[in-house]
Amino acid sequence: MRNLKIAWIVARREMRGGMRGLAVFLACLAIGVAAIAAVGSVQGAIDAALRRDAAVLLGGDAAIENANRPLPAAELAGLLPQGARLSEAVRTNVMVASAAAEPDGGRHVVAALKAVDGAYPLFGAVELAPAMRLQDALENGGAVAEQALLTRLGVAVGDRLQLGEREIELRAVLVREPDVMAGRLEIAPRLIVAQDALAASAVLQPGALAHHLYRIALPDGTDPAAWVEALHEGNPESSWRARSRAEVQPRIARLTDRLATFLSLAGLTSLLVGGLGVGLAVRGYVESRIATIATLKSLGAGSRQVLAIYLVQILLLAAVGIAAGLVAGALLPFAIDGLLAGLLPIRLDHALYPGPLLLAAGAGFLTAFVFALWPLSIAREISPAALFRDEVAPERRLPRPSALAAIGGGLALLALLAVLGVPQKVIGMWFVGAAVAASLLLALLARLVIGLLHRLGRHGPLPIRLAAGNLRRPGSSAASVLVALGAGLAVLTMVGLLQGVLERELEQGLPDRAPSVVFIDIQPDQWQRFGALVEETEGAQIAQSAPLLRARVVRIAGVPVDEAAVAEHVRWTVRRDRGLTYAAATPPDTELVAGRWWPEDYAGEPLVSVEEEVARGYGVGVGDTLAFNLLGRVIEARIASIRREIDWSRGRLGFVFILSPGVIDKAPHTMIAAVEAAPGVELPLTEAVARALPNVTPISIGEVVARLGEAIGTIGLAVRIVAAVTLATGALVLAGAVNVSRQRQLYQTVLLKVLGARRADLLRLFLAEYASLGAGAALLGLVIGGIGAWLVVWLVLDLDWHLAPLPAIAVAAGALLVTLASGALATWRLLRAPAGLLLRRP
Amino acid sequence: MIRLSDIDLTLPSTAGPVHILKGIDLAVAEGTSLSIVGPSGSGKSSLLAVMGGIERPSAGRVEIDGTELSALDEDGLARFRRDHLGILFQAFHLIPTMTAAENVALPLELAGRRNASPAAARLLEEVGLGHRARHYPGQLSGGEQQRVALARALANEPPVIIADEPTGNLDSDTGHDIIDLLFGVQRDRGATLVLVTHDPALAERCQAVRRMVDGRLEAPAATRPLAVG
Repeated sequence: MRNLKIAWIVARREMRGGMRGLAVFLACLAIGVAAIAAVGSVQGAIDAALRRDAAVLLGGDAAIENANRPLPAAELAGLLPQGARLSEAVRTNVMVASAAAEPDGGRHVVAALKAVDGAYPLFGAVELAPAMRLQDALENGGAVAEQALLTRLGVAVGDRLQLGEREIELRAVLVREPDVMAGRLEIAPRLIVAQDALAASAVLQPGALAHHLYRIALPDGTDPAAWVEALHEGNPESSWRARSRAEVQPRIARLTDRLATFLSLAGLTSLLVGGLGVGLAVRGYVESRIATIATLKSLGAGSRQVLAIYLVQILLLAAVGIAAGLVAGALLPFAIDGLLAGLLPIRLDHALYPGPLLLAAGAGFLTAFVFALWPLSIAREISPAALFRDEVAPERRLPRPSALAAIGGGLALLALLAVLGVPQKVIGMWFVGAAVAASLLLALLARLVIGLLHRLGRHGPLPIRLAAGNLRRPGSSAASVLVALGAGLAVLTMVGLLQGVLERELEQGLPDRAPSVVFIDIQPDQWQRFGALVEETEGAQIAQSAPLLRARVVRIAGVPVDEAAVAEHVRWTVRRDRGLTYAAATPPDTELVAGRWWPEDYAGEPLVSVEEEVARGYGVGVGDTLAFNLLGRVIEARIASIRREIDWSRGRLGFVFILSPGVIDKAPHTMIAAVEAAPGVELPLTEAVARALPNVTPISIGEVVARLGEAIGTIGLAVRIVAAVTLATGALVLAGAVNVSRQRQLYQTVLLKVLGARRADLLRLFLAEYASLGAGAALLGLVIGGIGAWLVVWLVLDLDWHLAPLPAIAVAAGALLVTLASGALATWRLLRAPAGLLLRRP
Repeated sequence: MIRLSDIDLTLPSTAGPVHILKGIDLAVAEGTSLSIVGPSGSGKSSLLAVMGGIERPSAGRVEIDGTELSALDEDGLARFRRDHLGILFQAFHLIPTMTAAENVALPLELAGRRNASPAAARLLEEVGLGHRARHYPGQLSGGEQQRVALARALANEPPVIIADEPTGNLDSDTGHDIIDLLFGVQRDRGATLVLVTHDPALAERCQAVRRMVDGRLEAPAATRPLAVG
């Protein structure tokens, strides 16, 4: 305690002299802390908005969703509690066209249709332009649509649209609808009509892909979550699923959490890279204080006191940097609100979220502590003998074991923060592992590269020899610079290479092999007509077709699905209804890994063929049973075979479950057909189908790919920004290193000048030094970023490796640019130093 | 009482180890003064550093007032210096970010004394700098800086004062003032004083003079009675 008090008194006086050279320290901490705080604050705002608007987003306190068919009124009435309010809606994709166009109709466009009743919306409000009540807009065949639909159809408010067999009148533009669950990839613009208009249009044929939604406002005092749970317990094998508003936040959070986790960890990466700058700056600072430390010691200050005095100063300064970072990080979400509003379906309430700010501050302090403690622990050993002589050989010593333990403890706490502080702990753990591996690899490679550069430069001309010597002299900060810049470049390289792989997969991979358009909702009695339409269109052919039903898995090996142990990565198959098909013969490209396919004329008890990964995730094998609720009827099917995993990237129609024929082919179902169309044929074909079979909906693969590409681009941009922040921090570390070696370089410069070196010679010397640093950092970044990207492609994405040369070249060029620019700046200042300076030195 | 027995000091350097002190035996009686003279590089300052527990000898024993220094660890040495030694440097080594008063108060504060500030003010009065207490080293002349350093060296009332070329950076008049002050307090407090100097006149004011050449002490001259300054 007394030590701390003295440390505080002395530290306060020490700081009067200014803490020059510590700007890098401040900037390194501030940037990293700001990145973490900003990501956390945005995530906090999203979370708060999701909790606040959960009922609005869901459309009710609870919602029941049934695929393909409406729930019978009697069944529904039995589910609802007394005093509940209900709003019904149907969601489906439809084709619409302008009704005013030439006799054979205008262009047809797919729209995401929602047909609502008079009670809609139970919560929140629909925003229309011009402003009016939704119910007024929808009465007597009215409709509202997103501006995108109006643009695609070339129509305006007041025009009439053809929806199946009915004409509807566009009364307003849909600006915002309240019940939008984010995260679903919407390919089509939205259209809202009244339920009677949908019924009159006759586009909804039996078995057509549609979701019937029942939104419920529960009576006061009813706990929605408990109510939904009781509902599921009472109806374990229902075809429908219910959700309460309590599930909205976790549901959407599954999507936003992953991005937030990646961005938080990227922020932490830049903070850790900044830690190297912190270490360098602290080293420079204590080197400038050697005389003071030695004096303090000669006056009787113990090394523990010396450590305390400087640790207090560093932590005070860290507090300033961290505070600056927190302010920037907390304000950034306000500043980019416009950008966020365009990306998110909900309005964010920006506020101060103490949790993420605390996390960012904690990470900042730990980083400052860990990276400052090393140079400070070495400084505490400075001998008072320094006052009597220049240190004979200032050999670099390791900190004491106690300091090493404290550094290790700090790092462990940082790792703990990385795991506990992000929404997705597993990714946090992977990050810690990857960070440790990458740090070790970076440190090792940095040493190798320095050794290599030193060896290469040893026999070159004088400037090269001097530069090579500088890289490896005692106390050189080249290793820190290489690690810091290398880390930033590695992240950038990895992002660039991954994006290259994904884009190639999307742009080149799919169109070659995939059908260009998939038609859904084809009624069995329309199949012949549809086949004829495709045949009549030159350049188009049906690549694949299958009957399609919607069903929900309700029992796995006899266990109700809510109680069954389902692996996380296949949970998507049981969350709601899935499409399944039936087939007599083995579908093409099918490879069985267990069991046998049923005979083509099989007509016995229902059998099912399951995809390998899902079977593994369910823990079932051949002979086990799966029960499906198929349009209200529960069918138990025995697993007859397990098929090899579906290669989704091949662009074929894939079904997780294929049933045997004979039992379900009588159930109302539709056909799905994948059509390969030559360029320019897709549009006439969809038009012809739309006119002849208005209930059939096309899904353009090109459009899906385009949307996916946009989504990847948006995420890629976010990640790239954070990667650039990491690189900027790396550049700061370089600046810090320049600062630390300034005295040495100044001395060397003046000495060389005294000895007759021209400015051009000196310029060559420094350029050689910085260029070799840049080249080394680029090499590190490319190697480690390349390994990282390759591992992700191999282990996570399971795609073919493809080396995009452009990002790699850009990274290498960027590295050279950054180092040469910093070098030129530093050299410019040095070259102006007059030779007389040396002579005036004490 | 300062007793050095068979002191050897070898320091590492990039060109190989340097043998600086070679078999030094020396005893300084309590309350007496000793000057060490000799050419540059003969090891005078290193001997002083060993005596002050600043440099650990490679071999031999250093004993001050009954304490064997080699038995102390780094922090033990620091505490010992704090309580027993006042050190004066050629280059003053005041801490530039602290005022004169704060520099003087520092050893007291490091020792955890309560009345550090008034004591520092008194010490500055004693060296004739009471009016400069709030000035920073950069605002003081060389002589004033060395007087502040002297006040600081005396702050903990050490029984031993060691001084390394205390007038080396000062003109002769200023140097005289400092030396008068130094010998005055040494006499008043009965402290033991060891100083290293190039200046024969200054050396002569000590009760004993020892000459150092190439890391060895030459045989002592006869002890003379206290020189009156």
